[in-house]
Amino acid sequence: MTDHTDIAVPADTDMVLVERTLAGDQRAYGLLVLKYQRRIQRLIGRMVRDVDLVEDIAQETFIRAYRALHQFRGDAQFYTWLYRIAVNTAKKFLMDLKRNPTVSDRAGAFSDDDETSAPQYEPTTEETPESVLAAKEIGAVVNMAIDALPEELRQAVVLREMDGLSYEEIALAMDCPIGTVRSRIFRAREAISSKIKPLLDKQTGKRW
Amino acid sequence: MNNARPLPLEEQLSAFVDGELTPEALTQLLVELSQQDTLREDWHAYHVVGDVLRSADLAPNATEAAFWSRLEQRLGNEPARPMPAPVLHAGVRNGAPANQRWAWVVGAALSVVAVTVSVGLWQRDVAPAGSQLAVAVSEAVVAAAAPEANDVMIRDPHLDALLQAHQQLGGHSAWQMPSGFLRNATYEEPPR
Repeated sequence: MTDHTDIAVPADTDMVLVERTLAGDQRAYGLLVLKYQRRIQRLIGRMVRDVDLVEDIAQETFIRAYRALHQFRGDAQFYTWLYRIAVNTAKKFLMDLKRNPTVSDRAGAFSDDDETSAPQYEPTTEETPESVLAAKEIGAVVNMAIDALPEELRQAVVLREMDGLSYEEIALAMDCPIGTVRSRIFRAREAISSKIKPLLDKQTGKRW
Repeated sequence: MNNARPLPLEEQLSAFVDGELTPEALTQLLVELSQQDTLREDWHAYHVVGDVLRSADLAPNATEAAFWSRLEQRLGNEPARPMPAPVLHAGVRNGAPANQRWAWVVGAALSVVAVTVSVGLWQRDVAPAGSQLAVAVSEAVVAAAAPEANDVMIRDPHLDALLQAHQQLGGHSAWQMPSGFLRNATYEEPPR
């Protein structure tokens, strides 16, 4: 599947959550973590091979970002800002590793900070075949659920999620009111979510 | 957005994910989001759907299970409001900027000149004219170097004159301790 990760999504959602966090609502920051943790972990996973260290660095990234959140002004997208923190955190970790290589012999994969570079993916000892299978299963279920959607729902959610169009642009493309676009995207998400939620619960457990 | 009918919270959440929610609806949704765990699960699921559609390798992996709970614990040790880190300006290490250094130099020079002139004026009546400046400077240096040892008080004669003139208006001298109502006490010896 084509990687459309860098498609711009409206930044104001993130800015709202940042402002809520700065006002003292840590759960708002949790929403940002839930939104970006997969992308951040994938990014770090391409720099550091050990999955335990990937998680440690991702944790450190989100803690550092939290501490520096008052510096985020919204000039760039939140993910762009977070991306730089993740890269710098991983680089610092790799430098520390070079100074003290006894920390981990298998941690450093390569220090390429380009997220778009080809991943040198190798399952680690902690990443069991079951967990890899579970991730693939979620991907397969999402794709099957998309294929099973009525055409207008599938088109709306694909235009939004994969092509990054705004509701207004989708309304123009599908020749329907914006309210209809909003409703179709919601119904599509609900239909797909209902299929993956049991897998997420099984994989992650109830976390909140 | 058409707000003729109230949208279900989940539909509002879906619009919020896309940044398409009105500010009015947003306020209420954020309150609900901070209270309802099911909405957070929906938030998570909607983003997983979007991530997986964009890239197959963004499907949640096994490490995601404990990630948030572990991070939540760490965040519990952080202040509720993210604290600004102490900022060390780049200029601090190399000293103040050039214009600020000049301001300090000029200020220090003016202070020295003012003290010197004041002491010089005070010394004018007690020292020969030729040595006034030297005496004044030496006095100032001594006073600054060992103020406790010599107990030298540098006084401005103009200021003294001004205080003397205004003393008549006040209840007591500016250089005296306040004495309250008791100004003078006299004792009359009884006649023998």
